[in-house]
Amino acid sequence: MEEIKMIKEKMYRAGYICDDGSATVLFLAEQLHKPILVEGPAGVGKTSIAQAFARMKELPLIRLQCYEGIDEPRALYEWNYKKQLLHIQAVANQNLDVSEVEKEIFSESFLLSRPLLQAITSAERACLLIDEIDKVDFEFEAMLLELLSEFQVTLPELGTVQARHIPFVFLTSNATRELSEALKRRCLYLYLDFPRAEIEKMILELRVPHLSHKLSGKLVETLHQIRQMNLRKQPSIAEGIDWAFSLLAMGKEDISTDVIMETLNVILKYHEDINQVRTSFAKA
Amino acid sequence: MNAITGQIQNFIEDLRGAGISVSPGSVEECYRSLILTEWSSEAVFYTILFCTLLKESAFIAIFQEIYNRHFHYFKINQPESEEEFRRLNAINFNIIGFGQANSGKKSDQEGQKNNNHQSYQRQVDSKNHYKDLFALDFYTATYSASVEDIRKMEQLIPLLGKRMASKMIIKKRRHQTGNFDFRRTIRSSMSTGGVPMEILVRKKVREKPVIFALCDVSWSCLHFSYFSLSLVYLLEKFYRQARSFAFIDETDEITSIIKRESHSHLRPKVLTEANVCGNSGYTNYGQSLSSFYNQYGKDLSHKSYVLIFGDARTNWFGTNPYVLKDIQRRVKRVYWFNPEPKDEWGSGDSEILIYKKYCTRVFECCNLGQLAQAISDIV
Repeated sequence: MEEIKMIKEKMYRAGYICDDGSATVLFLAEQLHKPILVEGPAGVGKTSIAQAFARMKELPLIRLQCYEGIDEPRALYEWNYKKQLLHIQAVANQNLDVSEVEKEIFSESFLLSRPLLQAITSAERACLLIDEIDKVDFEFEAMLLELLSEFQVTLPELGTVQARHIPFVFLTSNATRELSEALKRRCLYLYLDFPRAEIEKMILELRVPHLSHKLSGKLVETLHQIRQMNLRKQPSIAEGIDWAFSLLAMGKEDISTDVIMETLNVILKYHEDINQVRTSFAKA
Repeated sequence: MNAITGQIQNFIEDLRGAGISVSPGSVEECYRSLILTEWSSEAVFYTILFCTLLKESAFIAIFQEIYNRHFHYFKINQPESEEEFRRLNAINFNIIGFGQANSGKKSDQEGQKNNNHQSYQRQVDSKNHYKDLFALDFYTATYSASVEDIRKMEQLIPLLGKRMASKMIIKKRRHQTGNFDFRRTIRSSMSTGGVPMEILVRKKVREKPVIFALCDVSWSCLHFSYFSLSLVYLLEKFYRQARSFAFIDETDEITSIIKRESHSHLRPKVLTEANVCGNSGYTNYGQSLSSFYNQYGKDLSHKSYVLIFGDARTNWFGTNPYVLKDIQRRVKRVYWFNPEPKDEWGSGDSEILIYKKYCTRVFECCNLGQLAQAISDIV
């Protein structure tokens, strides 16, 4: 398919290597105006796919990092309370009609837009990344439904705000809790897993300039070997990239078992994991 | 397009049969996407079905299996693990003396179970072998020994853990606010000239339970102990103070083994390293409970939760219910998780009804869904 091949190519230029699957999902999201729900292990590039997509489309990326207890004032909009107070004081002795002042202070110039509102009201089309959606409360998730299906939000004081341009939406999740059916139904589902060796090799070479083919091959091979083991946390692609950088900085051209042993703490973050990998490489 | 539509429709029916909910909206989207892309490569076709119909990572393995049956005519290479799985179980066979364990009434029980199993199998066959893993009972899971199914069920366990953790967090947050604190509110109103600007509440002190989990690891609970041990493994992670014990006719602490091993290797390790076999090697609840109480009873307190995972089949040995009564008196809660269906409780050598008197609650846990439900009830 021409379009899908194009997306792959453009994404590559934006610094992200897509397989057919993710390119198809990106293509569909664009055609159907649907948000993409991205799941997968930590560090496989859930956030970077959104960033690269924004780069590819040359659109601003608006990012909303979710956390427990995030609420509408933080994510959607808030009235600029101080500015409102100042305004009231400024017009206090002008003998204005009360309802007029009220209308004035609840107009758009007193509105602080937060990421979600920004994404639908911005002058040009935007790319919206809602990171770690599984951390939010149910109430917040319900609020998102209106935004994601109709691309509009209802503000009690102002009425309904329609999106000027429908943004590209990416939601990422670590599956720490089940998202509601309603939310899932509105999204396309993209599951990113650790890539095959040859793709990971390409990723390393793309992200780490000056990395030789030989070293990248060896790195990927070792990473895959380590992922086969039963570890608490598997080394991610991002950590693989860090590893490549640190090896380059150390000036190592070949990774022997000794070098692996010395630098394991770059890719493994648990003491037990490091020990396990050490012993198994020592045996080999 | 018509032939393929029918085939996709069948495929969707099978997804639904396996417990994946596929809404009509998703189906429509799937067709729209297919028309849009003029899919020519399989990767694209697969991705379209995947991204429109499936919305949950826990079901990926099932999705793939059903996909392969419908659209793939090659046999995808089977996991090599069948052998490994049997090898792990063989250790268990040796220790407990498989085949000798049928004593008296027990064999009847086995027969009945086999019947149940066969009827279930028929049911499964008629549904083309796709199963809802949350509803698949542990007995069938282990005895029909479909390695793939068990692997898939094991994959669901970390998910269960994550859900448990987030539920605990939500609960913790909800219960944070306590009663109105009159004194502090008035005190803080001083600074605003006696106008109470802020209502202050007392913070609730959350109790931190100490978990004592006891798992029956004998042959009769083989199917269940796999999952109960995994669950105990999760508990160890979530509660700072959790201790676990395994028993057949002797009780031994396995906390250190659980800390060290990953959950899939637990069972064989427990059987080889812990001292769970006494003189007979047959499950003996009375003796195990006494042994637990004598060795570790001194550590029980009003903060303790005792969780017992087992079928309460005593092999006609003594039940020592008074030991459980003593335990219950000293601790806050006693929960029993029984892998047998409710109708079988109290039949044959099942003494669950006697023990039930001294439990805060007894849960029926025939499948992963029920087990998850029970756990979320007590968390």
